Amino acid sequence: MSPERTEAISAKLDDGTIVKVQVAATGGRQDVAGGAIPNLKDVGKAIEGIVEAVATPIHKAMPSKATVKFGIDVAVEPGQLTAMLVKGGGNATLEVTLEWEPKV
Amino acid sequence: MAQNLEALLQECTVKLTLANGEVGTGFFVAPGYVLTCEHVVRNAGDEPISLRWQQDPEFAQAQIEQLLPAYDLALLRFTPPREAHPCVMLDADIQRRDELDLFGYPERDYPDGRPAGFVCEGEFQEADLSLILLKQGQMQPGMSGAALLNGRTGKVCAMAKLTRDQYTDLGGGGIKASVILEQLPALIEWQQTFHQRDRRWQNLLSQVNTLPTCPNNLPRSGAVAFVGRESELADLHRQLHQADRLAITAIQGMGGIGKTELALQYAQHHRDQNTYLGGICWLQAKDQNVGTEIVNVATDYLQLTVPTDIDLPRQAQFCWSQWPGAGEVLVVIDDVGGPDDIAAYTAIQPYLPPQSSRFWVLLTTRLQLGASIRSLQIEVLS
Repeated sequence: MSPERTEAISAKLDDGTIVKVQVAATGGRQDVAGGAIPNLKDVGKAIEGIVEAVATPIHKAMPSKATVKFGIDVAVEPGQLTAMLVKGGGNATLEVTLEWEPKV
Repeated sequence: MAQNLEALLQECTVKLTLANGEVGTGFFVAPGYVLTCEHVVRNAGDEPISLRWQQDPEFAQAQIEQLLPAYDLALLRFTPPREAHPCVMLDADIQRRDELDLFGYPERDYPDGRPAGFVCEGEFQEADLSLILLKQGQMQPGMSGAALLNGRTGKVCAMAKLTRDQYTDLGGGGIKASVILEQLPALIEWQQTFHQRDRRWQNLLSQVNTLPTCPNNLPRSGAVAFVGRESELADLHRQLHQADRLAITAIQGMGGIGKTELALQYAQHHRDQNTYLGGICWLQAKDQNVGTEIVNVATDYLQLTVPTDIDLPRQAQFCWSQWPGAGEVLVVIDDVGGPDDIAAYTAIQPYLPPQSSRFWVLLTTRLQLGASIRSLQIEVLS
């Protein structure tokens, strides 16, 4: 599911550089203080978390090769950025391909 | 000079910027004091908060004076850099379908701030906090802490806190003025002192489209010129508006000394000043039953339909309870008399308005009506 509205907001990197990030305009209730510039690092942390959550069970299946496809949209919450797991292409949000090579 | 309350509201509004770049809105509640939401200044740390006023981005630096996180209230203090700034007039009155306006500083798109208008949809509770819900207006991030002006009363009845969707006109929510005044009771006196001295807000209130301005039934004065009582007029106003709101004030003195004329001059002066926007009710205690007079005033001047199947004291109380508008009302009862002090007071007592903040009661009498009534003695002019 791709959000219909997006907006470009400022986010900062650890070295203070400001980048524009296109985020999903999620709307909804929130307190209306403004001006907080979120750190893009929060998105990285979220991706790390998603990878870990997906990779651990895959390891258990011990495939020779595994491919995981997913898409990330960035959404903004008061004061911070967050990753929104969305369709990575095709119809699935998470597309997992596992291959086992015959043992010789 | 502001020409209407919306313009004056804007002159009472400041943009707040924290050292870390976070922004919000705030408004003057007393000289040197700005009110805003606690969540606006939550990350301020020990750094001063920069105030932008009108086109002056470096108007002043403010410090946090008091934080009430449970109510999302923050009081900031600053040293006013130049001539006296105006202050909003706070009032708890808010009803469903009231139209509310704010002026705020959103974080983007409107660098010099923008107005926003809403309709009150009702109230809701969250934890112990009583909030109002707003619809049909766009509340954007950065508007937190903006004063919400009630178009019906001409006073500030809430402070903007949240949006229901920042991208559309779905509305938002605010903290009620009743909560603000309850949690920061010092504001009540500061507000009273300020608005007695600075008439800017009061003078513009008369433009508010409520009732025909200040309904009153004042008799004509017989005086060609009224001189020598200026200090008594001022004393009277001060005494009537002392902190203890439940008391009744009496002008007491001998017959023929000018009690009625003083009361009348007081009432006329404050009619012209629009002090009592709810109206001025002049009752003659000598010739008629006060209760009948109250019912007549309510019928003739306020277009109330008073039920006739209840006794007169209850009819009078009905009139007080249904008194239209939201403004304060001056009730003058002229020439309270009787065979003795106690009988005189007992005769009018069932008809007195309820002990509410709206009604101010002034009597004129030759008698000493007892300890529950404060009296202002007047003497023969020398």
